[in-house]
Amino acid sequence: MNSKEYIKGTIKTIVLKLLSENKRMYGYEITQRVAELSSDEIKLTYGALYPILYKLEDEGLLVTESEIVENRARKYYSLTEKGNEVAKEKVSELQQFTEILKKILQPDPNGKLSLEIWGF
Amino acid sequence: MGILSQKQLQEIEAFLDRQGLKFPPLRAEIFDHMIGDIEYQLENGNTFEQAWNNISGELPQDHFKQIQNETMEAINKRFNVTRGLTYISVGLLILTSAFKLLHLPGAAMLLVASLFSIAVSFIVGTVSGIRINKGKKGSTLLLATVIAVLYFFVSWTFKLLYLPGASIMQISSVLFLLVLFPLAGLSFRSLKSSDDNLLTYLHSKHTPGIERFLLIFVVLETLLKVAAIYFGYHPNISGILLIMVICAGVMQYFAQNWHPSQQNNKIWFQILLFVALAAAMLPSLGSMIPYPVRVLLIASFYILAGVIVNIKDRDNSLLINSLVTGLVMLISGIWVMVKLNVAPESVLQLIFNLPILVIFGASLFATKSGSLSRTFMIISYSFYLFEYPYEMGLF
Repeated sequence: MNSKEYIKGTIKTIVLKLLSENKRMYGYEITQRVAELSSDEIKLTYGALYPILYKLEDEGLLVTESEIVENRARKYYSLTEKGNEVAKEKVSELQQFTEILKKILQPDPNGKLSLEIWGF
Repeated sequence: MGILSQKQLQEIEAFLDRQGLKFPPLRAEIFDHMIGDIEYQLENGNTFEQAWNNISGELPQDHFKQIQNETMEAINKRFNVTRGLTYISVGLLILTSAFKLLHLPGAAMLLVASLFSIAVSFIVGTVSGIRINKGKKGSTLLLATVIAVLYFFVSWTFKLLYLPGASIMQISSVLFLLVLFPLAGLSFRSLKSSDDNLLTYLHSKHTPGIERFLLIFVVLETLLKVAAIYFGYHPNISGILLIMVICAGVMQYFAQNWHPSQQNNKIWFQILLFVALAAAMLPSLGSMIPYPVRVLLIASFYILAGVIVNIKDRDNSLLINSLVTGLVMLISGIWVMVKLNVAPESVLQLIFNLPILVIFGASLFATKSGSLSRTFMIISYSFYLFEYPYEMGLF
């Protein structure tokens, strides 16, 4: 599935949702978790992930802390109180939106009937 | 220890260098992420070469540079009080220059208002930086640095306005900076990562803005000084602007060295930086230091800072760095000989004229934005303009 064109507007919500379920995560861990949960259908690129993480940090939704792991710096992200609230809000909005999409994309029952007339 | 060898890690670092990824926090994260990606592929049976080709081969040209631009844009997009105050300061500076050029009264007052606005935006930016980045350490060091920098500029304002206590303020502010800057450099040496440190984090984040601000000053001071030289009047306000740019540029130059010096962990480089800082800051004490010593200190700064540029700057080619620093060293060498009466006064005509002024300006823009070399040229160009005798004319 070509998920790239659908994913763009939802990365922020995905990141917030993952962080709301985990105390703290680092960049590589986020991409791995997304790949795992989507059975490798969604692969977050460097370009899709990092500008969003920095933006969320700048907006006060995330805080960071660095640790030295295997002799290199690793930056962990976690949600602030405000970030937690926004995460709930965004996840709820996206769920509502997917429900609406489902309704739109469901096959039209009337259309099916009209085809039956023609023997399909 | 990780599973990658030192040589393989260096290969990744060199790749990030070639990609132009400079913003330290982002660079450290991408470095860690790429290692994670490679190690994952190694665990799945690939060799390092295969893993490396798979990962780097998927990346479009200038991918990381683009991410860096998008990241900088994302974090600098929001309008805040600090940014509003910065715009007001720039507006007031432009107005000051216009008033001065049109010989309208009130230019000096506008300049003081502009400097006050810069100071307020500096304080507001620092406080909001501490508030937003609560998880980062080093707020005391950040506050101490901000106080030291502001105190230095306040002492200059006292001197320019002939207020009492200016001398003692100047001595203490220079000593404060001479102790604090090396201490900051030394404290970063003990940290493997400075991303958690507020001072280096905020400095890296605001470096493009600081450079833009200095360049606006450079344009205004050029306009004012060239007008003063052309019409032959005393360039008092452009002189103040030039001193501000030289001092702010010197501080920016040393702050830019915090990151590479901390990564390299070499004590001789810290000593070199300290000597260059002392050579740059001590002459600001004016007549408290004997004239020949002051002149020699200034010339030493341009030589030492030029050497540091050639050692540290990897953003520009060696040719560009050698040419621009060579030009500065040559001019400062001739200047110091005239000032110490080793060469006759008439020699100044060789270095202070329109063609050299244009070459200097072009050299400034030949260096890459955000590089150490660019900051060095901002300082050198401002110093050149400051020393340009207004009676000499352009030709």
